[in-house]
Amino acid sequence: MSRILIRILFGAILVLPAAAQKITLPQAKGSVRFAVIGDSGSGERLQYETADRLRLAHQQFPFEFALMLGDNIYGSKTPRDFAKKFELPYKPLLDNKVTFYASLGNHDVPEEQSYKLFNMGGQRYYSFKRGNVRFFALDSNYMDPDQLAWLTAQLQNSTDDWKIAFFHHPLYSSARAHGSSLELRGILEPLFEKYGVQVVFSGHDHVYERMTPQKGIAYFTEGSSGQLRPGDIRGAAFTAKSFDTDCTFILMEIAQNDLYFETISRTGETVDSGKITRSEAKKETVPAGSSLQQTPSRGAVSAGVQVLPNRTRQ
Amino acid sequence: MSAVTRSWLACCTLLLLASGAGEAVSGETPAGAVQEKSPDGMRARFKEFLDRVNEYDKLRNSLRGGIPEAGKKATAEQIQKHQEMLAAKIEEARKDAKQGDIFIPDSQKAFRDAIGSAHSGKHARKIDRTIVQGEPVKLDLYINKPYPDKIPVTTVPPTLLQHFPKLPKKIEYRIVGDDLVLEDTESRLVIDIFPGAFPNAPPRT
Repeated sequence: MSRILIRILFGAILVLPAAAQKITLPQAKGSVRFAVIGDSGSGERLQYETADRLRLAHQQFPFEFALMLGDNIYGSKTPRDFAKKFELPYKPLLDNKVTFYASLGNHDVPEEQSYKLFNMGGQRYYSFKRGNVRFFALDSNYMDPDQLAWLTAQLQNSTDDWKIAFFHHPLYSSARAHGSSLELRGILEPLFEKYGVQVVFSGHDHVYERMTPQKGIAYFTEGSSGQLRPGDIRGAAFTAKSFDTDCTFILMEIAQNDLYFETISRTGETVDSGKITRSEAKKETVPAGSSLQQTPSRGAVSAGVQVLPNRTRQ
Repeated sequence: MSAVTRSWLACCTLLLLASGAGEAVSGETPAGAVQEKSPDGMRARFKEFLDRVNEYDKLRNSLRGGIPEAGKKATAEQIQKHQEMLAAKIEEARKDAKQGDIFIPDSQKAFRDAIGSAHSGKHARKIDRTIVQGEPVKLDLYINKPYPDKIPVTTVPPTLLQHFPKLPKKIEYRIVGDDLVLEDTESRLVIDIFPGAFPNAPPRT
């Protein structure tokens, strides 16, 4: 009993400093605004409190949609679980017409692709467009040749200014629990580089980490929107900023050639923020069905990024 | 060495390579093995396996009748209902199914070779790392019974998937413990198990 009381008190202390949250994203006219959450579906207090902070953020920064980086529903998958681990914590956002786009994690089941509130269109992997941005949701649990062929064709045919990929397993991570998925990196990164993907989001490690651009690509790990592994970050040469003492989510805004990000903790603290600028590299379109050899040279399509942190806390 | 001699040697080398004699001379790679590793050779080795998987797929298609579709915009209740009703029909239709119905001994050998081929050289450590990072599990699974939904699905290394034959939609490979498992992801039923397919698999939790 005393243990439960201590837990409740500790929880209260942690969530008490609900300081007036000030979101500094520019909110430019016509910009694409979204949130990013990963490893969210625990159904536990941490998820609910982080979701509530996301609700507060939405009041100041009315994002239209949210990307889910997998492990959307941990444990059993009954309708009650879908309610407890997704529908209830995000109800205020769902009521406000926020659309969630899910990718599958290793704790998910493939049939989540049919779940209407995950907007996967009945597919394990899919793409969608918002403004001048094309998003690619991948299934990194099962990167079979069919999926790679689909991704290659999609990237070849995309003429969008911004290309953003999201999936569960991180290509770069300095967390102790899992770390970088090297095999997947060897397969996906050459495609991302060749076809000018600028930003990649992953989860799996229950921390927040932003990498220095690798081969012109900005990588984020956001696996702490409902689970947390405190102190799990080791740090690596590629780590630009990390945070592993509380749960987080990321807010994103894309205005023309600039992508602004702000990472916010469960207690409302901004733990990272900055701007990613897309290079003005001229892009050449590639006819549908072209083989890899027919694509323009790497320099022509690789947009590249420049990341400028606004303010970061160490 | 004169230009004529160089040309003659080059021609001999080309002929030797074209006839496959080069491999025979070295004695390292029998011609049969080369044939098996070609796409046609691999297809032939997995033909029986794929025939049996396709037979399962046909059965599943035939049993979908009368079951409400989950579709692309289903509620959690609809997904569960579809999965459970389909699983019940398949369990009944395959009530005599047993381990090895699909992974017959010849197919097991083909998979073992494919795993060995993928797992050799520079890819070996990366494949093992992928499996470990995917939170591998060791649990008892049963043919024609559901894969427990509380248990994470193990990541199947992409390199392995490039060496395995392509499966019909909504049937996937799983690695569970040291075993290779075929799962029907629509009904969540375990279709078949190849025990010990990964004898040197990394440790499982």
